[in-house]
Amino acid sequence: MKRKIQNIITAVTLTFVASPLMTYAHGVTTGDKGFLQEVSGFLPFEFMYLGAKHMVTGYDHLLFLFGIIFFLYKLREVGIYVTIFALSHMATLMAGVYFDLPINAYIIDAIIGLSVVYKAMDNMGLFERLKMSINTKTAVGVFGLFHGLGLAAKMQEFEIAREGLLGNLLSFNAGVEIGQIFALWIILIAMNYWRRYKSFNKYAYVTNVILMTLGFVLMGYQIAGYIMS
Amino acid sequence: MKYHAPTIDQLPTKKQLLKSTIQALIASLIILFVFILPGEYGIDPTGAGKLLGLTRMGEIKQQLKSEADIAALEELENIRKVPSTSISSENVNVPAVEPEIIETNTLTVDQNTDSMTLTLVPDAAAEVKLVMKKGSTVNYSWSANGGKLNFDTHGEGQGGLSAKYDSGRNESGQDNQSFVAEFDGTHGWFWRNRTRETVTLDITATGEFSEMKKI
Repeated sequence: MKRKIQNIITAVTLTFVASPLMTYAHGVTTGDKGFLQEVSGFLPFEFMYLGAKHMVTGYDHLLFLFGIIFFLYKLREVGIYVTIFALSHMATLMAGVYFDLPINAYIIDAIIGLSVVYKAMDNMGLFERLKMSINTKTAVGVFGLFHGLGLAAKMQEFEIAREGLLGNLLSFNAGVEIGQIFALWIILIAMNYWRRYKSFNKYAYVTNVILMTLGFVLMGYQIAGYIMS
Repeated sequence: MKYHAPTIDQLPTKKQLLKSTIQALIASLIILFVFILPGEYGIDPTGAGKLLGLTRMGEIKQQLKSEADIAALEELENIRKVPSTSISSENVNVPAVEPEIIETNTLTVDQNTDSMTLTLVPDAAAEVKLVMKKGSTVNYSWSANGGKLNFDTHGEGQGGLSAKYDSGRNESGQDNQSFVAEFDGTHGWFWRNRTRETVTLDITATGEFSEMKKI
């Protein structure tokens, strides 16, 4: 245990020392991608873990979820919207990876940013004010398709072995949903604390303004990336 | 979706919230010890990581990380070894350390044949390189003797030159392959054993190279 901690400390220190000059002797890829490039076969738990990790660290997906549940007080309603989102992103995640669809990550991630902007605007009552009636459930479903493509694009980067892909993909998908449920649980607990206070009414609007801003930032960042590429 | 304030009876009670928070904290700790520590760092306090295969994933990630760091450190040392004429330091007497010069301009390299047998235990790696001139061709075959290996065929030259020729995952061998060296340098293969059994590897190369060496 002590040696492992020493190893971790050494590794971190070396990374800081060496990073400006990092050129690998034979090109060692590290992290999740490094691991996935080395292995093959059906690895259900590994892929489930990676799927969950992807969702929990996928702040663009989490921001959209946060926007969706912001004004949903009934667990049943949360269930309906999250299921719609889950089904649509599941479909495109599976199709995107299995059929190796050509996905431009920048464009897709920009649309995901747009989904965050949309939901924040909806929460602010913008569409009602403009007398535009957009079916929220449909919108969540459509944007969900793009979230799935975003997940698929990240999975394509991993260069996973074709052998055992379907099983691994299903496991990854299961992990994504598990990660989503866990993240949602934490978000809902926090939200339900906040909703009990007067500050919720006071700051609900400005919070959605911040959410919208973050959505625009995501869009700008991805569009800039697209232009640069 | 309309902006509307919730009524108090629409919300969970303080008691419910506290209960949920404690449950979430416990769940997070479980996730940390059962999934994250094994899956990222190969640390398995509960033993569940081994069952799920997550500990092995973490161990591989850590191994790759330390290999990358070692490689980066080696690069640093190599850079220090090459005498730089642009740095002026009056007082420092730097002993001239000769960088490894590959003599490619003096000899004409005839056809050469060489082979090696290596043993790779699980998770071990091996690198074999041929010293070659630019434009040289080499024909090679390797076999994992019933086992399976990941491989990466590439070349390295002075000044950070690198070339990629071929790569594969979980292969039993290659027969009668060849590549042409894109520059003067060392060209060859990197193998990794990601199976659970020890693999005996045979590599044979014929062509225009001066030396076959194990790195």
